Amino acid sequence: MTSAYIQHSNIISPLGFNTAENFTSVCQGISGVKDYSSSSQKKYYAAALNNTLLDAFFCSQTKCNPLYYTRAEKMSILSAQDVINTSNIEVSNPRTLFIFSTTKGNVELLENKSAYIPENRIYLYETAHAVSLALGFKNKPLVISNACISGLLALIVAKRLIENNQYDSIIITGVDVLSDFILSGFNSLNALSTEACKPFDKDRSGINLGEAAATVLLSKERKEKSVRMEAAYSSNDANHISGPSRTGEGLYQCLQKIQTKNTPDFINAHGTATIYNDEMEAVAFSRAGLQGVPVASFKNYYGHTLGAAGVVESILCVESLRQEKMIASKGFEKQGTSVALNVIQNTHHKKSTSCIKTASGFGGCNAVALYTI
Amino acid sequence: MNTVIHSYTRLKNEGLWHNKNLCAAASENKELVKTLDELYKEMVLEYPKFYKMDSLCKAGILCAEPLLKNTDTNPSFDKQKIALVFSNKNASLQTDCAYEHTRNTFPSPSLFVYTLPNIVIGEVAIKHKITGENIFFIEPSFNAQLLYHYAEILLQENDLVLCAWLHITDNALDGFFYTVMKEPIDTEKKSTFIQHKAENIHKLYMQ
Repeated sequence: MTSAYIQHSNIISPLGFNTAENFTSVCQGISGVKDYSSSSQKKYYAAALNNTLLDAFFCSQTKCNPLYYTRAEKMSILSAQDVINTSNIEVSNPRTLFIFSTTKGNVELLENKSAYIPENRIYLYETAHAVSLALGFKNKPLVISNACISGLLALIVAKRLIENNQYDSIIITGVDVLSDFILSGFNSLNALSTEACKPFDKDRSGINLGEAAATVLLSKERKEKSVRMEAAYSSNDANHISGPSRTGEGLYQCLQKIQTKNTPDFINAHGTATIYNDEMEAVAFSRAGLQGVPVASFKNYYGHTLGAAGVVESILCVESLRQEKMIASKGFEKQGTSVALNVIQNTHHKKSTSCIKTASGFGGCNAVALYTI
Repeated sequence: MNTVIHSYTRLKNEGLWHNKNLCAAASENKELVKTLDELYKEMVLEYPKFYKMDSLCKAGILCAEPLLKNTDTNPSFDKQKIALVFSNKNASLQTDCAYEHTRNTFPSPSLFVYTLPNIVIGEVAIKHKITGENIFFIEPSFNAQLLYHYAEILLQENDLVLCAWLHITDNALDGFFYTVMKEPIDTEKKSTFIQHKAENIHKLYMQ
């Protein structure tokens, strides 16, 4: 059977405008999370992308008029365009597909209407369509919106479509932006941390939100340093719509399905730094016999970027495999889960051949992928 | 691999049908929000959680019930191998707007948790204890081709796929749910099923 390999990638985030810049920042332990307390809202930390920088970069890289696109669209166009340019992929080829993943897309348009942006761009498909047209794709985009596993799920769908010979190459872009809608919602759930988040730590107190767009090119060609998406599954806890399962059932089932002969070299967890999410993950890893495997969360570097997170974090996993690095789980100090985990405390050189990426979200959904080099 | 459509449900403003048979009829001149509660009572579901859900989830629970009822009682179904593949146009826009209205006064956490399209997948999974694959696609209109291709892929490793289109607005209920599985070896049963093909899916939706 055909295999699916990760080729080129891009991340547009507060830590940089391409994968190399982002990976360098993360390796240096730089975080994009900052204090954004304002008078109207309670104290909160988030990772926000500077608007002036974004618009300047958008104008320098594309011929599109920035007035006609929302922030989410501009970030998506920039991210996918970089991958298209560096890979020389034929966007007009009928065997090339564009998959767009987002949790809340242009939800900010509910509040901030723009004279230049048609009202129908509140629909996720129209957002994807606008991005797809700007990039020149011929095929209709495929749109996935599945809470916080959207990005990883988009990669899973792409893998399956390639393995089943439906397409030769698929560009997957995941995006979400900070908005008062999302901030107020997580705040109403008391889920926001009032400091930089501390995944898996004893004193963790909730999430930081972030914003990013990230893009991956997945294709069936094996090249030097190609990373294979070897196995990937999604599942549901069938337990609660807004709380993770105490037994980590759904995540455990996914991990069981992808377990191969060899234990993975590291796990990149969802690690949102809420009490319940991190505990659920620790339980699931332990049930799957993986509690000793080095594990990290990247949420302290980027905040939780929702629909982009699975793509951003997969790219960083791929770069870790390619550049033989083990990235620290920033924000962690003391064991804070009922099962002790082997949390990576310092970024260091280490050759690895495989890693597992996990994601979990509202609606009880989970997704897991195994990457090998 | 031969695959077949096992069973299907259709939700419209007028009521809910299961394989062409009317399960529950909506009375005329009712607000659609109330219609869903009315259908629920007619179907005698006895699932009080229903009342706290948003319209998208209510509609999903109603449409899924006739298709998944037998998986609850029949122990031969492996709940890890039932996949839920949903799609619509609006994502969770109705509830997004409702939540947005509460934001200036007191942002409602109970509304916020419904501002994701895949919550309906979670509600169906909870009701029927299904822990298999899930995905929510956003399409501008019902896309039989997409659901067909993805269900075919999922059936390579799963026993049953529930495919769904669930478009709920203030003035339209448009739901179409169907289950797909490998063709049973039992030749007597064979003739009762519809071949799983995009054109057949489209025809059933258009009925």
